[in-house]
Amino acid sequence: MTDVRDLSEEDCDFLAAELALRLLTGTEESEARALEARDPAFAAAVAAWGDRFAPLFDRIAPVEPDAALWGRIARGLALRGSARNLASVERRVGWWRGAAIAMTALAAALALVLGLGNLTRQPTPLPQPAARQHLIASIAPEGGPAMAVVSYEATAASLIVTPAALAPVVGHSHQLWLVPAEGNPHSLGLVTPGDARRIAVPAALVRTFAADATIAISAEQEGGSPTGQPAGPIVATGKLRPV
Amino acid sequence: MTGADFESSASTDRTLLTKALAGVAGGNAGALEEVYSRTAAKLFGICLRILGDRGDAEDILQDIYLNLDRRAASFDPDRGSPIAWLATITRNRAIDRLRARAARPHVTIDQAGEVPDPSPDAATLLEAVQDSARLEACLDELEARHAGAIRSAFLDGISYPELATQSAVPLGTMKSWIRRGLLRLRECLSP
Repeated sequence: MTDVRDLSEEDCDFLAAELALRLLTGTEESEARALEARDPAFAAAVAAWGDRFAPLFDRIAPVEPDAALWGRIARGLALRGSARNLASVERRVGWWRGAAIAMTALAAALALVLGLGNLTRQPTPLPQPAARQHLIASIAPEGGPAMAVVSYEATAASLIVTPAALAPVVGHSHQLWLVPAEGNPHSLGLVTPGDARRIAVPAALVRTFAADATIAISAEQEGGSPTGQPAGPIVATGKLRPV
Repeated sequence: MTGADFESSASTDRTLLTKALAGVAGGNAGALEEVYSRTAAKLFGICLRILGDRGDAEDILQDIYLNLDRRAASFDPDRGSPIAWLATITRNRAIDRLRARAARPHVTIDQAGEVPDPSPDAATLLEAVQDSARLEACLDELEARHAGAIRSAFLDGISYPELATQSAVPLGTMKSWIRRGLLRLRECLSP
C-alpha cells in the first residue's frame, strides 16, 4: 500500500497530479484513492491540481441535453419522496425481528419446563434453529430512503425482490447483484421497477448468504451488463440481515 | 461585450449558483431546477466529450443531479467556483463510466469529433479570463507532445496505458513525458 512517508515531497505531488488527471488505472489508482481518503495533505494536493486544470473546462463546449432529461430527474425526485412510504415496511421488519427473538425465548423457556419434568434424563440439546433462515435487505441509495426490499428464504432457496420505489430509466435496465464480503459480485438478474418477483438462488450462491452479503442494484444498458460484472452506476445497496 | 462585462457577469453567475447550491443542500427542490438550468449544458458537454454517447452522458447527469442534495453541502464557496466543483465531479463520474464500459466497443472518438473545441473566448466563463489565459500560455510553453498528452488526459479522461498506445511509445516514456510536463507547468503557474 502506498505510504506517503515512503514518497519524497516531489513524488507525492506528482502522484496527486496523476490522480487528479485520472492517469492511473487499477490498483495504482485505488491505492492513490485510499491515500487521498486518509491523508488530508495529499487530498489537498489532489484538489490543488484539480484547481490548476479547471480552466481547461473552458475548452469543452456546452451541449444542451435532451429536453426530457429534467423530467426524468424530477420524476426520480418524486419517486424518492414516495419511497419514504417504504419506511413502514422497514418498521414491520423490525417487528418481525422482535417477534423472532420472543419466539426463541419462549421455545427456550418451554424446553426448560419440559427438561425440569425429566431431571433424571440426560437433557437433550435444544434443536438449534438454522442460522439466518430469513434474511432481509432494504436497498437504498447512500443516505436515501429505501427503493426496494429483498428477502431471502433459505428453505425455498429463493429471493423475493420488491422494487416498489425504483425509478424506471428509459433505455436502461436495473440489475440486481449479490456482493459477497469478499470476491466479485454475482448477478441475480434484472429487476423491473414496481414488479415484485421471486428469484431462485443457484445452490453455489446459497453459501454466500450465510456471510454478511450486500445486495446492490445497478443501472445498466438495456438487457443488463454485458460483462457479467456491474458496468453502470450502482444506484442503491443494502446489507442482508437476519430477521 | 467588454472583458470587464464578462468578469462582472461571471461573478454574478457564480454568486447565484453558489446560492442555489446552498438551497439544494437544504433540500429545496426549486433550487435544484435552478442549478440544473444554469449548469446542465456545461456538464452535459463534459460527459459527452468523455463518453461520446448521449445516453450514457444523460445517465451520468441524471445521477449527479439526483444525488446533489447530499453532495452540495460539501461544496466550499471559499475554495473555488461552484461550476468548477460540479465540472470536476462530472468529469470523474464520466471517467468512471468510461472505464467501467472499457470492455465494450464504443465510438467515442468518432462522435466526440463532432463536438468542436471552442476557442477559450467563445466558451462559457468558468474561471476568471486570466486564469484560463495563463494556463493556456503555460501549456503552450511545454514541449508539444507533453502538452498534448496532458490535455488529452484532462479533456478526454485518457489513462497512461491508452496515452502510451495512442502515441506509440512505451508506458515509461509516457510517464516521463507527463512528469516533465507537469513539473514545468507547476513552475510556470506558481506565483
